[in-house]
Amino acid sequence: MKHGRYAVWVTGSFLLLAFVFPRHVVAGPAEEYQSLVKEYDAAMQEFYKVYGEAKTEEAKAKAYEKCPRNESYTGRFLALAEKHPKEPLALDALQWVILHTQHGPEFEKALKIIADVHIQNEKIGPICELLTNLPIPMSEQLLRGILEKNTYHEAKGYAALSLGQFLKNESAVAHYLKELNPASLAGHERYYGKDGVEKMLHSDPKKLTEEAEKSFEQVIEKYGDIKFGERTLADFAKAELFEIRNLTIGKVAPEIEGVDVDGKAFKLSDYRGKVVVLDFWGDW
Amino acid sequence: MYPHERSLVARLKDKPFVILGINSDPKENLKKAIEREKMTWRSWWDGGNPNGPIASKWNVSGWPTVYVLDHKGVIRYKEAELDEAVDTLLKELDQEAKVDQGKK
Repeated sequence: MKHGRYAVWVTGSFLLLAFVFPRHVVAGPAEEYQSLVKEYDAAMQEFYKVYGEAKTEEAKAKAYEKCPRNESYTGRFLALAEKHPKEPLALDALQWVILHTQHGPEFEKALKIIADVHIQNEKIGPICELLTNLPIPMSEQLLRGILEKNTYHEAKGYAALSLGQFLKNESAVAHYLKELNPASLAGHERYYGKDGVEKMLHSDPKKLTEEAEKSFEQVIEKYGDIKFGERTLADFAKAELFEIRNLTIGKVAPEIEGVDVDGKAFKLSDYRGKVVVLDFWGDW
Repeated sequence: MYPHERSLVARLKDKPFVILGINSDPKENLKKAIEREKMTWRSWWDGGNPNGPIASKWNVSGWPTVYVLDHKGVIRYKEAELDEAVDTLLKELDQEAKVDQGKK
């Protein structure tokens, strides 16, 4: 009972404080960042609501026009990061830009700021992970730069794992681009840049995979102890190596043994002699 | 994905072909999905979350992830156009069977 009353009292006084001290009066750099994130999130929420309520195709198209554009925010996040290079929020703001752009001029600007100012930052790990999706040369340079110049064990570990994943992806994309009709390459320059496409066309996908393997082996050897959730970086690197060595086209699929929804055991090799589609799925 | 898989299974019901799922949902959700989507193919239940033993071993980080294996169990396609991939492999199997028959 007492606790209940206390909670009500505390909530009440926070509400009161919120009225007495409007946000802009107390805004330090961290609050400035927080309020920008909140502004974007609120705009997204509003968009989802209107879009969800739209009944006709026309209403949906109209709602979509009001979807908050990343371009209206990235510039402001970049400006914040440049204005407060020594504050922790700088890296958060740059991470926001990378996550929401993935490629393009503002993505590159964020990477350049990181390379110039934050390359030795202890907390750069989560950013490394975001650089593995698209094989863009600047991302590779930054990952290699972090490995070389950052002195924190954890940061280096993330950079090494991410570099391996980058190279593994680059190998797959290079393989794909080499098979394409040259006329359709231009469309891909939008994502990987002209230099990226050029580099991949002249690369040897097999060598890239070998380089990826080396990077994963380095993770196991030097950074395997670093924890990520319940797993370690060694676990991730081992899974990557297993995929490269056993789950590529041309390899015999490893056995799968388990039970179905009713608890009945079955295994993949029961289906030898048939063409099999293996579908990893979730109903979400 | 479900309607596409259903039509694939229907179209190839007399062929040496199966879809096998590896599902990462809690068991109750899997049961409901199988009923709702009228799935006639089997799925392994992978422990109820995306970090289950099968998905972890196969290093799956995005869903759905699809592999297509030939009749010898060799991985032949990853993330391919399903109908085309399966038809190619069935044709291959058919031709191999004919060659074997010829030998006898």
